[in-house]
Amino acid sequence: MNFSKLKSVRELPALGLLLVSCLWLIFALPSFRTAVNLGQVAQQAGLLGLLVCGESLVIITGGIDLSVGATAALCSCLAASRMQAGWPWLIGIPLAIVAGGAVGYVNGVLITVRKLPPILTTLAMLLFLRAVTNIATASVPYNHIPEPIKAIAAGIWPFVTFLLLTAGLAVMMSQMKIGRRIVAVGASESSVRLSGVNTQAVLRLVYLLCGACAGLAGLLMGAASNSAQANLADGYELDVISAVVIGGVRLSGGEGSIIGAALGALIIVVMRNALFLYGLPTEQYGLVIGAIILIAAFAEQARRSRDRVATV
Amino acid sequence: MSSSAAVGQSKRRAMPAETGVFVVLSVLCLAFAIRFPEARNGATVSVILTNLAEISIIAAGMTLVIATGGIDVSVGSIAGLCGIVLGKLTVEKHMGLLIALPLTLVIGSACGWVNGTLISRYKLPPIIATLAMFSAARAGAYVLSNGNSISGLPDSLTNFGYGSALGVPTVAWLAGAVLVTMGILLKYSKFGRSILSLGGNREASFLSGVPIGKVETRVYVFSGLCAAIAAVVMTARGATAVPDAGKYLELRAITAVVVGGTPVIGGRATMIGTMLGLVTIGVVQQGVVSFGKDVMWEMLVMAVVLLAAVEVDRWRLRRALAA
Repeated sequence: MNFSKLKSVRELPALGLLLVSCLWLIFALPSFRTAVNLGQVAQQAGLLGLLVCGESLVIITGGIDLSVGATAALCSCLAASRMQAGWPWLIGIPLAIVAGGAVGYVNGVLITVRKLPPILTTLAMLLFLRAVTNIATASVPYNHIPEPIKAIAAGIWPFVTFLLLTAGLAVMMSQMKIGRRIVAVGASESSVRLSGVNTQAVLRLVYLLCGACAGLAGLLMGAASNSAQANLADGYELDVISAVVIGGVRLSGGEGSIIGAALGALIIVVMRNALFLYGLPTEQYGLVIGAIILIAAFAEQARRSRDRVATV
Repeated sequence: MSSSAAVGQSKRRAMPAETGVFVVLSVLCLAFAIRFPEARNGATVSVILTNLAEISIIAAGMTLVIATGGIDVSVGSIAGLCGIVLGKLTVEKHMGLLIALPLTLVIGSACGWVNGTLISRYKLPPIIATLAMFSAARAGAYVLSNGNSISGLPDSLTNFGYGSALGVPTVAWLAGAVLVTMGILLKYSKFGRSILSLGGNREASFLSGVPIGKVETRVYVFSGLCAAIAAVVMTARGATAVPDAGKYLELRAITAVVVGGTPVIGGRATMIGTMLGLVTIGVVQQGVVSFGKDVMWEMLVMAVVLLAAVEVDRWRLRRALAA
């Protein structure tokens, strides 16, 4: 076995951390390995993971999307309100995904055509969408979500959806032309543009995909709690970005993988669950998550200095 | 720099960086004054200024951070932590304000120093380092307080929160003083020039002998210090220390700075723009209240104002380049 090659696998620290913590929990904490608890972990990991998949695409291009949580809330409320008004549930799913994609596309247009910085554009989008959703729903949750939607949001089904999406995007990134272009845009946009690729179209597509993932995640989140509401996924953007970074995606773009980011989402959810089972108050999650982000960032630094990338 | 020099030679005068926010603010003020004639008085101004006190103090530090091309998303959490520390020290440890206040400021600065060290020495991206602090400081506030709010603060502190001098609330004086001090620091001191050169071109300023590590660390210390001062104001005004105080302060402060015309890529900054950006937020807040609308409308309008100010700024730059 070639160990030196193994050392350069970016996902390795995340995978190691996940395996060690899962093994530890399985042996040390009997309440972790119950079917009910594992089912909950899978459900939460699936819901967070859908957001993480989309965000990781954006971060691989060197951008950032702060509006994923707000997009999820908007799409959840939009789909739930239409279904409550009598639209069939089979339309609800594409509606949420298309609405999310549309939001992402607007982000992409503002970033590529108006040349606004991604952080600023998506911050404005975050404020705008939260406000619109709160005003449109009068902050009242929708509780009549059709049974079939609730069924696909229950138990391990979100996790299955998340695995399928991760697999699909991973294949796209490694086997398809567009995947290579996404990574290349993150590494050096100008050189990709000069080699004849429409980088702006690539960026718009990436933000569109991120929004669509958020739309689907929002629909399932609302259905999982049987309450589609305007403050759904409030503050999730930070969890999502943390997961992507923990998964070994470089924040300045150009390096990282969907699988790494998916592992990051699992780590965050498993850590949360562990703290919960150990009886720590929910507010203290922050200390642990903060520490994990730092460890991940230092791992990235170590990797970078090994690769001898010069930084001032 | 080069564009303004070129414009100086032409007939057209260069428009200042604050043009965007000035135009947007004037339109908003005019609309507000026409729609609500009864609000055209000093009392309204005083309310707006008081409500802006915490955000203003945080935005002063944030302007320095953004001038280096960085960002500090942890200020709201640091303010929450410092508020709890102040409450703990004065109420539970029975310390006098003369000891408790400096200790609170030291805690805030220490959080900022950790941010700065992670960023300048260990080369973490600012958003990641401050994101970790965002989580950790908020958790720290909950751990220290067990999730409870602390009331029964000393009278001298709460009196400060409600006092006024020359018809202007004391907290507004304090906020103004912080803004002016940071503005002078940014524009006229060696430290300020180092900040701008660091934000403009890191490598060039390193090669020309600017101690970039030291400058960058110090910028985040200032940001943490400002968060601590804001925490004192917030605690004094609320008369209680609450662990989730200061949520979304970072969003508002970043919005004020960016609306004011300081570009997020760094290298240029205007404290006057930040002040105008702050007043814009204040006018929008007050307008939403006067219309009797939900606070959500404030976020909606701010999102539009944010994009509008950036568009006006782009128009200004294009005009300057054309000249």
